[in-house]
Amino acid sequence: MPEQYTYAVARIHTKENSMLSAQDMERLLAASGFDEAAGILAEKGFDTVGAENADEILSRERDKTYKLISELVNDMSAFDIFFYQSDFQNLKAAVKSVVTKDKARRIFVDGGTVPKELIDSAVKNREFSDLPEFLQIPAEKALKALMETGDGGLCDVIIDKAYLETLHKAGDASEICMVKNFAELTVALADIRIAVRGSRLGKGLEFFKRSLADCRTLSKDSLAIAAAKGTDELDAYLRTTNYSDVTEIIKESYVAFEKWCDDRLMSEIRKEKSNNFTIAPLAAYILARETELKMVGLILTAKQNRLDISVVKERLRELYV
Amino acid sequence: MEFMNGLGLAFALLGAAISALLAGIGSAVGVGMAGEAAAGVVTEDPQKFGKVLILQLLPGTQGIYGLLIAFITLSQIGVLGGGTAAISLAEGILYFVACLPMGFVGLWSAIRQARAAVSGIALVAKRPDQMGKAIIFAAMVETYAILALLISILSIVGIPALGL
Repeated sequence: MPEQYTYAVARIHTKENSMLSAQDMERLLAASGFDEAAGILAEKGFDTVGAENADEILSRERDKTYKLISELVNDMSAFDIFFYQSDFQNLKAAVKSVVTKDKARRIFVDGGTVPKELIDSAVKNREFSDLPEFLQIPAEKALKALMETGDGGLCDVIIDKAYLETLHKAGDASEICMVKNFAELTVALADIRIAVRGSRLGKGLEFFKRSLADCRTLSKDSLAIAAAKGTDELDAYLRTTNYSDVTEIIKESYVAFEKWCDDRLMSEIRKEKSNNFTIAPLAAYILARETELKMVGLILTAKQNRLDISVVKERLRELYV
Repeated sequence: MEFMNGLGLAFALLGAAISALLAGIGSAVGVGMAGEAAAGVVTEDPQKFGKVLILQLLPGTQGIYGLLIAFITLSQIGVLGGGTAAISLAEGILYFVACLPMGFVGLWSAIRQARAAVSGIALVAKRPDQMGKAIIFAAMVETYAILALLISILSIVGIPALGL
């Protein structure tokens, strides 16, 4: 029965009130430094006590979100799809740390579905069977490629493609319509991102075939052929797809394109704001919080390092509330 | 003849029971559903208790209407007055049919009203100043429960005049 999430959704909708609005972001941007920005965040309920950097604040907030959601649903596996990115990021770090003799250790991140220590030890000891199925083959292939060629880029391509394929598969298997759409859109946007970047760098057809992942709204083969032929061909192909509006954005700037990708995902999530009965608003909240924390991290890092605020403004994404 | 009268009384009682049962079930489900949403809001913001409580109670009226129809029916057939009147089979069936609008409309409208109330609770959670509108949205569903109540009352009250 869909009504089984009525309590959880009402609670989440109330929680959305404490999320940062566009005005709050403006206040953060106008703050004179890290301490003032942290003070504004504390007013909005962020745990900033004793935090010395953005990562510490963000990590505490991610924990809070995870605890809240796990309190509301019995089975968190429905939301695994949102945490796979950290697993594959940790897989990259683990594979590279084998070659760099642990120098990549600092790029391990928290918040995946698999403990980072497990990924690290499984790759280091070549015990891939210790890993969940979706990480086993990419781990083995990426490590083999890196050992044989020493090409870190190739290793990244293998793992990134495996991430997109895992995401799409998980999306297809999900019963939550919003999660299905999120997976499809994420993979399609990642493919467009790869095609745009690769096309500008003059990469060949082989690169695109190796990097692009399958999705329903784009033809992987047509996209690869168009991208290999050049930016004009790519532009012409994208105009025939659901993503025709991206062509003008790409011409504007790469930063604008990245912003467009995130905003498109956000507009997909926003549809769940008026849903009061299913699990989808909980999934939307996780993603919305993640976007919010990304923006906060960007601003805090800029404040801490006294970066030009216009650079940050250009990168700010649409918010959920 | 006595058996037919007994059957008439059974039909009339069945009508009263259906009216109270269906409308009561609808209200119980509806108030429960809205209560879950209200509890979700109050967990995060206890100050909104008064506002969400009103919305939670809205789907409860159908149960009261069902009970009212059951009372009127029982009173008409004499069960409440102490001494049952002789109810012919035709009269009994008519009482049964007269109770149906309240039973079925009560059941369905309470559940639909609860969905509107839950959405209203979500609206109040985000914008407490929109409380009036949230109540109006849910109260619109009430119209149809009242129409069913009216038609059931008019039918029940009119049956003795038919002289069957």
